[in-house]
Amino acid sequence: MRKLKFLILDKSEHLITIIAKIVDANILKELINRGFKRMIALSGPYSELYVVNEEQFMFILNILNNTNRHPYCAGIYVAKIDKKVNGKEPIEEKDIRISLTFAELVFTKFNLRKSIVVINDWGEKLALYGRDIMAGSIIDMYPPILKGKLVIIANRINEFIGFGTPLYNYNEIIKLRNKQPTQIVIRNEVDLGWYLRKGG
Amino acid sequence: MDKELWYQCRRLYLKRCSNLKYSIGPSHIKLAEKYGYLPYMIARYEEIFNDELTQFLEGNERKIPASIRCNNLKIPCIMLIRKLREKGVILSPIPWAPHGFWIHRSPINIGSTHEYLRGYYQIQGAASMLPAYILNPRESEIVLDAAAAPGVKTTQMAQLMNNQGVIIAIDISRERMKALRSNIARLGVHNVIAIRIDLRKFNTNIKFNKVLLDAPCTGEGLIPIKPERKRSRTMNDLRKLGLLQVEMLLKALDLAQEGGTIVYSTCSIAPEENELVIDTVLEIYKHASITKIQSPIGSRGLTKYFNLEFTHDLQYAIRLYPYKHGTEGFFIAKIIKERER
Repeated sequence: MRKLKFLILDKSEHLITIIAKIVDANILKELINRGFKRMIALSGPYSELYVVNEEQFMFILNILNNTNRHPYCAGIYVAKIDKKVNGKEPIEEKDIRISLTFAELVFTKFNLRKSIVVINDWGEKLALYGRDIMAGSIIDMYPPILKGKLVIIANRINEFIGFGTPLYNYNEIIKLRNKQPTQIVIRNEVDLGWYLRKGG
Repeated sequence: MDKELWYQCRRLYLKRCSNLKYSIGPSHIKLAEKYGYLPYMIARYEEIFNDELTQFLEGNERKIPASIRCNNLKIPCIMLIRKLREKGVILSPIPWAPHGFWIHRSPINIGSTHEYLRGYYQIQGAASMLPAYILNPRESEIVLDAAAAPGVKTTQMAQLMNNQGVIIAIDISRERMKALRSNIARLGVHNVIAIRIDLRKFNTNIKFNKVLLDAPCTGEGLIPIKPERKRSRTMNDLRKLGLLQVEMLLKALDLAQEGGTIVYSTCSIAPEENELVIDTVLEIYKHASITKIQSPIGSRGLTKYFNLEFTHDLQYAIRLYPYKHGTEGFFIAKIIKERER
């Protein structure tokens, strides 16, 4: 049986602090402004994190009390905690995998214009098949682009494709774009093609 | 849910099923052989369609065009049309579905375009778009989707509610819940709480403004899409599903608030899964009534079926047929839970 844990988004919970580090603290503030003040953590083989508003939270409590059922999913799916580290305390940044839904929400609704890599049409096709990003596919970047820190991948008309991890820093990618255009520079973590490949 | 009510409904439904008298004649057997059906189905269809039986059977042989629902939570429909047309997709609006489009021709698989992956649209049968429009959920309401997976109508309702209010989406199937979660995520829906539970065991003190019960059914309306349904279901299957539908409808009524609306729908044209279910439940459960559906499409519900007479109000339900409406076969009824005096 999975367990349910409730967290308040604006309290200095360790888990919230870690997520704020990954996605930018301003995004959590923006969520709170939009009424999504609570986080629920569903533990089990994977631990999934969702943010919900107060109304949703009250319904979840009601259903839990009356039927002893936790939600299968609720509100906005934020992240998953890697099953290999399930139960380990304290959870670290590397243990958390941001969801596709949340990354897309951040990009499309919160007007975030940093840590974005824009790729060309050919790169987009490859990325949607789960392939990594070559230096030559990149047509623009919004810094900071730091090796090992998540970036959003978008197409030339500003549509979300997925997110990835840079294998090089900004300046190195600029150089590789000219010298070695086929060099993989961003590892594709999750892309929208996931919905076809694994989404169910 | 009151168990005594359920037992009464169960007894009544089974009694009426066993009283249902139809006979299979040589003409039924001949038509069954010609079109590949089980003979009992032809005998029943003759009762429903009379002179139009052949038209109905011929209609089931024709392909129904695919259709999509534009998801305006993510993109204005006009932009989606432009994008799909640029890709060579030939589409036209479904006149009676505000977000619906017929796909007449597509050079690419409509289920794997970039626009699909981005959640700009959902593939959805044209008739199956109607129940959510008829229920008409509003932004401030608390809505129950009582058999929700894979979430096609759940996400449509979220769209109509502009991602506000709350939808509690429940379903019993573990596998189909995965698809529901995936659709919710892809289509950018944020106002859903999904619970994996059998509706009949969903005991809560929440009273819902609106309930959508798109009940599990034999899928007799989907024959143009799944021709195997011509031979895969027996009368016994119909009875079993009918009983489940009766129980689910009783539970849906129980969960609705007084004055609340329940939309009951199936992708079946079998009266045993539709009019007989509703008539049985409303015969026993006294505090609900059928209300007229304002729909620009659809034929009237049945008030007579062989030797069975149903409440006259069932004419206010609607039926859709492939040969007549160009959609999959569908049944929809709108029920209001009345205040108990």
